[in-house]
This record gives sequence, structure tokens and C-alpha cells, in this order.
Amino acid sequence: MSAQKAVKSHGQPTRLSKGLKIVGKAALILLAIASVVFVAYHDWVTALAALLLIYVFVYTDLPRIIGESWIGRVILDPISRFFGELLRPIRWLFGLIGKGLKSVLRFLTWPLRKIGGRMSMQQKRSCEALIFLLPWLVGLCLFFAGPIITSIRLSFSEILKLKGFEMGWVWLDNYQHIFFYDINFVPMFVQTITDTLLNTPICLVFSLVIAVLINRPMRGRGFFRAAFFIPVLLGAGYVMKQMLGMGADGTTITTGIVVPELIANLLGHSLTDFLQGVLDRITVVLWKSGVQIVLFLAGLQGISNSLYEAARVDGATEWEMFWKITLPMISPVILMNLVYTIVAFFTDATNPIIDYIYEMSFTNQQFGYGAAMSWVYFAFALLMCGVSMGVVGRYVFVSGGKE
Amino acid sequence: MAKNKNANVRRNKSHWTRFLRDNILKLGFYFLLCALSFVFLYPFIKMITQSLMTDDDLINITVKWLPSELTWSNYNVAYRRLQFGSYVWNSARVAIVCTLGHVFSCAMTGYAFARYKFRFKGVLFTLVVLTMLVPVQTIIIPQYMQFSNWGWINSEYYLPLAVPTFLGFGLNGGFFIFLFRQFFSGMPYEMEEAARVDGCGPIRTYTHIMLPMSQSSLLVCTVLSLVWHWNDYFEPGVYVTDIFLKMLPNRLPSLYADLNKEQHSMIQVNEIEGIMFNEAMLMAATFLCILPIMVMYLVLQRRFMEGVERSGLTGM
Repeated sequence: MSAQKAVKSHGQPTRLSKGLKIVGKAALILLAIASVVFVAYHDWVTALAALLLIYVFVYTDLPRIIGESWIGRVILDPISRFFGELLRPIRWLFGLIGKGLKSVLRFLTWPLRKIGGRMSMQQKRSCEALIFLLPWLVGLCLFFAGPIITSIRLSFSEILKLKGFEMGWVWLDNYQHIFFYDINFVPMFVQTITDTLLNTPICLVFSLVIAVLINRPMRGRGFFRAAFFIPVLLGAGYVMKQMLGMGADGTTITTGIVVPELIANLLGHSLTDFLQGVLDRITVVLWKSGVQIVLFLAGLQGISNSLYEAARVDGATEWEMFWKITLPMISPVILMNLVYTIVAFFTDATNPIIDYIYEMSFTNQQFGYGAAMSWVYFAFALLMCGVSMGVVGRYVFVSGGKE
Repeated sequence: MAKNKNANVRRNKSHWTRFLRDNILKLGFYFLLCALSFVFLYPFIKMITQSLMTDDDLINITVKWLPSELTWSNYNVAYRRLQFGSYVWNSARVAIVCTLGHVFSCAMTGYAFARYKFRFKGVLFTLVVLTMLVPVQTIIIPQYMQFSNWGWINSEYYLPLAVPTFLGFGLNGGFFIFLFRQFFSGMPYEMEEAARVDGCGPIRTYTHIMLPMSQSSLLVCTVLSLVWHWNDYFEPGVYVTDIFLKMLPNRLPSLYADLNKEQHSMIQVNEIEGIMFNEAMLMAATFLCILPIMVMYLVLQRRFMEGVERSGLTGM
């Protein structure tokens, strides 16, 4: 025990230095709060200060610090040990049940093993695959294939009786109604498509740039990586919808980032409006691109470092390395992200058309009409995905030697 | 002598210019990152600061960021209006059960697609991608009919939400299968082969060797699934209409609707049932809704990011 301690104190920072570090961090928090209070009502300074505060919140690894401090050692450790003791009989019971189940299963699967003995290696392997695939196949029949077929049928028919959902064929009437009679659907549809077409490239470019920036070794990397994921926590759900002021009217709280007045005076009214529109769009898209950044980060980490080292030895600049190494290597992730982004924007909660379909089918009880609308919608989403996969898929770099 | 001195000065100067240039670049880089992260944190900061404002601060245009005094009573009111204490358990139950289902089924399916060769593999994997592409809105109507025929609407155990996740479907199920396939296909084959040589069956190979090796990717999927299920309100809004079974995100619209009603009657701040009701309270309610998932993320974020980095997503 003492030898271990000696080794520890030699190699790693002592408890005192760690304590000092924590005190330093706490002082930084206090300083941040003090500065917030001191310079209140000056916009950018408060913004920066709030940023600092949240930096401390996210960057300090609170649970670990607490666990390693005296609180963890004196209070939390005995509690967890106590619960461990409590759990021991339960664990024993579970072990017993598991053993019993195992023997029953062994007995039940005896004929299967008998058959397995006669199969070829390949047959055996596909049977093993079937075991793993079984839940998904059941799900495919119950929650995908069934509903899809019913939905196609439903789009050509109408509900006669709500109880039991009796259907009667109306053939193309629903589709006719969408394009020739409904004055709401087509404008909404066009708007959604233009939005998606505009937002998807913005989202992909920005998230790739941010992922590349964050991926570099630097100070405060943990904070930046944590910060961009926070809008995802706020959600694709109702919260974000309210934030964007798309939900119930009148309760808008954000209008994105505002163009500074100085620049606005220089540019004139119409140009400022245009710039504001662009900025608004970019902010909204940025808030929705947390998952894309995560995927890009994962992809960037998957690129072998030796490629960069070789390029550096040959005298390549960072710029060249980005275009010649990073981009080709990450292209499969770009394709995957592209598809994900298109689908995410199409099914986004802030989409007016989704509300419209929901309202038509569930509030007005016109299930057939709703199904027809969602099929038109989905057909277009599929078309866009297909086109983009076809176009981008041609440029995807597949590293050789696999399969 | 003079020449030597000159060279010395020049070297010094070049050293300083390089130092300056490097640091200015670095400073600009940090400034860019700070600006970007401010954009990302903007809704969050706005929400917190606004939730601490009094009604005077809400009307006062000089108060933009910081409330003149911190008022915690908004949280008190929001807690009571939301009935947070009872509804948070509904949300937690659904999110945890659905996440378990996703991790269980999607990891299995992803493993099968990554490691085994069987007939119709290409077709089946195309189907996985297709389940990713089909929006929920397309199949929610027949699914609603199906579930209501089975009597699953308003079920006490949230069957319409939980059962699909255990079978690899549900919210973004195809996406998780895809992710797991990527994770597993990046792993070395040697371990499994060694296990098979030693007489280990397929299921035990999976549970005792592959799963423990893929902890980081399991964590990534757990966090994503938890966050998405917590925030989801479209499917729960359709399948769960019973007021006692609702989840937190579905409680918010009624609060917003109440506020709207009062604003249309030209009264900004009103007293209903002796409770103060304004935008600040709404922000407090919104913050309360995401607070549990926020805490979860803050606890797990280091390991989550490490998991993301280790997952190795290149190479389709």
C-alpha cells in the first residue's frame, strides 16, 4: 500500500496541486460572475461573460472532481459500498434464475443443435445471422411493410366508418384534390422544398467547417465540442419550435443574430434586410446541425494520422491537406450526412406542412387525404435523396482493398 | 562585428514577427470559434436569462440580457403549472425504456449486417436505408389505425412507443442500425475467430466479446437516443392523448396556448388561480423540461465525445 502511494506521489500531481487547480477554477468562476455583474447592460461584454460562465459549467468535469475530492471519498464511497452490499443477494438471485433459464434453453434447443450438426458451414453462418436479424425482421413486417402498404391503399381511398377503419376506394380523387382544389398545400410544399434545398448545403458546409475547426488540438477544445451540441438538447421538439416563433403566434423570443447597427447604416435598408435574412437562416440552420457535426467529428477521427504526417513531410500546407486528404477521406460521411440532413429538414417539427398533414388527418379525421398528402411529400423527399445520392455518390472516394 | 549585430537584430525581428503572426492567427481563430459557439449557445443563454426576469424586466427595453434582479419565483410557478414532479417520471420512463430497446435491437441488427454474409443482404440493407428515409408522417396514419385496432392507444406502458424500438424501429431506428453497422465493421476480426476456435457460440461471442469492446459506440447511441426520445413530441402526441400519461414536451403547448389566450385579451401579465403567468415563466418551464436531459449530458459529455472520436465512421 505504502509503495503504491510513493509511486503515485512521484509520478502524478499531488492532492495539494489538484486542490489548488480546483481553487483556481473556482476563482475563475467568481471572476466571471463578478465581471458579469460589473459590466451589466453592455451587450457584447455580457454576452462574452455569459459564455465564460457556461464554459466553466461545461468544461469542468464536475462529477469527477466531486468524486475525487473529500466529499466523494468520505460520503459517496461508503454509500455506494453500502448499496453494493444490498445488491449482492439480488445479483445472486439473478444468477440463479439465469442458470435455470440456460438449462431450460439448452433442453429446448436440442433438436436445433441436432439439425445444426448436419448443416454446411455457410448454412450455419446464415442461421446465426438470422438469430441476430430476427427482431428486426419481425419489426419490418409489423411496423414498416404493413403500414406502408396500408398507407398506399389509404391514399387511394377514404374512411367510411371510423370504428374499425373501413375503407372505400376513391382512386385518384385524393391526389386530384391536393393539386387542384387545396389552396394551402402547393404553396407550403414549394416553400418546404426551397427551404430544404437552401438549408441542406448551408448546413453541410458549416458543420464540416466547424468540425474541422474543433478537431484541431487547442485549448478549450472540450468546451467548444460541448457547446455545439447544446442546441440538440434544446431539441427538434416543441421547445425549439417556440424559440423560432413558428408555433403559436405572438410568443417569438428570438430573431436570430442581429446585424450590427453600424453596418446597417452603411448598407441601406434593402441590403440590410437581405443580410438579416441570410444571417437568420444561417443561425437557424446552425442550431439544427449538432448531429451533423458529431458525425463529421467521428469521420475526421477515423482518418489515419499517418496520411497527414506523410503529406507534411512532403511539404503540403494545411489548405492542400484539407482538399487532398480530409475531403476525399470524409466523402462517405458527407454522403451519409447529406441523406440524414435532407430527411431531418423534411421531417422537421418547424415545417408547416407537417402540421397541416397532422391537422387534416387527426383533427379533421380525413385519414385518406392525409395519407395521400404524405405520400406526395415522401415521394419528393425520396426523389431528392435519390438524386443527391446519385450525384454525390459518384464523387465518393472508397478506399481500396476492402471487400 | 557590425554585420554580426545586424544579423542578430534581424533574426530577433523575424522571430518577433513570426510570433506576432502566429498569435494573431490564433487569436482570430479563437475569436471565430467564440463567435460560433455564441451562436450555438444563444438560445440557451437567452432562455436562462429570460427565465430569471421579473415582469418589469420583460417590458423594459433596456433590459436585454441580464435581469435587474434575479427572481426564482418563475421556476416555482412553472414547476407547479407543469406538475413537473409527476410528469417527469412519464418522460423518464419512456426515454429510458425506448433507449434500452434501441441499444438492444439496433446493436444486434447492425452486428448481423457488419459481420455475416447471407442471402438478400443487399436488399435487406437497402430496406434499412429506406426505413431511415421514410418520414414518420408517411406511415403514422396506418400505424395509428393498427395500434388503435390492437388497443394500444393510451396504453399505460406506452406500447406504441416502446415496442417498435425493441424491434429496431421507432424514432430514427434505421439510423442507429446504420451507425452500429459502421462501428462493428471497423472492429478487428481476430477476436471473434479466436473465440470461435475456442468453442464459443455466436450469441456468447456477441454478448461477451463484441459488446464489451464497443462500449464507446454504445454510449454514443444511448446519449443520442435518450436526447431524441426526451425531446420527441410528434409520435407521443399522436399515440398518447390521455392527460395523465402525457410527457413533458407535450405539456408545454397547453401552457403556451394559455399565454396566447391572455395576450389576445390585451393583458400582458395576468393572474390565474392566484399564479403569476408570463413569458419568463414559460421560459422557466421550458428550461425545466430540458433540465434532466441537460444534467445527463453534462455528466456524460466527456465520455460521449470520446466515444464519438473512437467510433471511426469513415469507409462505408
